[in-house]
Amino acid sequence: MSITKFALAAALAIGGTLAATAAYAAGADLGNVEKQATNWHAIVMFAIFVGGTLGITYWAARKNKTAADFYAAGGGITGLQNGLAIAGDYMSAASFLGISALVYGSGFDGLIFSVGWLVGWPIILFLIAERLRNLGKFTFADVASYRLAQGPVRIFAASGALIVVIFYLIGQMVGAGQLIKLLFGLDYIFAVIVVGALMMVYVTFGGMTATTWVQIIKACLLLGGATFIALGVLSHFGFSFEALFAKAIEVHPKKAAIMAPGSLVTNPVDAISLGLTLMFGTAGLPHILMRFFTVPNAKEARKPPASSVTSTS
Amino acid sequence: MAESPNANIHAVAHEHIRNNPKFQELVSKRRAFAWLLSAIMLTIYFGFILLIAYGKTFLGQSLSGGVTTVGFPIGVAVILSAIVLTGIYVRRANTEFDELNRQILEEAR
Repeated sequence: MSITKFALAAALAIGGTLAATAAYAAGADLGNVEKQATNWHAIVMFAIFVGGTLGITYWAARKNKTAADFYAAGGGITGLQNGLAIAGDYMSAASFLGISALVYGSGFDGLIFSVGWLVGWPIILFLIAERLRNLGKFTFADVASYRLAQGPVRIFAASGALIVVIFYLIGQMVGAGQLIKLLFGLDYIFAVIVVGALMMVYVTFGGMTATTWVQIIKACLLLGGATFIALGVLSHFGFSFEALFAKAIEVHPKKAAIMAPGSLVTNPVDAISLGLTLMFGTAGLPHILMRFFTVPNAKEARKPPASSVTSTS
Repeated sequence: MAESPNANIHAVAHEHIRNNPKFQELVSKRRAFAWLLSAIMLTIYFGFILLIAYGKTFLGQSLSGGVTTVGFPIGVAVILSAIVLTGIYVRRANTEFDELNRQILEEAR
């Protein structure tokens, strides 16, 4: 499932800020991006990143000897590493593009999303994380079928996972394809095939060790990039939120409406339903849940939510 | 479940641990604590959501006269509360619960 996240990760990590600002400055709509002239700088950066991550995959493939190595990195990932990896899983599309765009488009209502996603974490930590690890299984289906009829539970889990992943994957692949088209000037169809093939290589050969390390690198890049942008913007306004908000209201077409809820969530039923979805959405993400199987013990299982709560916020 | 040659030894050890009053203490204490913290988190979060649903004008009013609205510090406070609750849980789990866990394993030998 982290596969899907790589789609944007690969494209994002190279340009990171560049990608977002380029798209923004050009006023380009991501669904309708014009093919750019072939951009060799971006392609070289991309090649370096892909080469590095393939190197990690090669190293991981040599280490993988058993099923536990492949699915759960042999239980040898520390809590802090796993926390960063979860943060990487979580931040790729969500925080960097999705939330930025939501906050840009609807102001305060975008904040609801970041709050809703975050509060899922403590709930995972309090109620799920340690129990999952203590069972000593590989996947969530293993856990769900532990005390129940294996066949039907696994069929149900697999169908659910596949349906969710298909939608997830389509969105991510389209995003990755558009981003690569925008950045490199490659044909859309070619961009999608390249990204898809890379994801399959990472996961098939590297298993959980490689995906974890690639996520860690991505998390560091994103945290660094986002902090840099945030500090840059704040210093431009003399570290005054008031001045920043005043300028935002001045230039935004919705004016002062962006400072209060209502532009996206228009009635109470919407608000409550969105609130539930956001929170339980985080708590049920399969690629997050399976990360708790990669740590050596319950104490380490406690750290990822703790560190990713801190970093994602 | 494949029967391992050690299955009997394991079954005995499991039985031994289950009957240890410290194990029952650990289980009930941790369960109560986890649900208490979850309840606090859910109350804070759904309080925020209900405020968005029914208190739009309250959230949209100006904080101290400027353009910053009341909603922003409240949103940030919800985020901070998630961090604080996580910290509280990890702190107690790493000290008290892990110590109990260690004692239980010691006594199971």
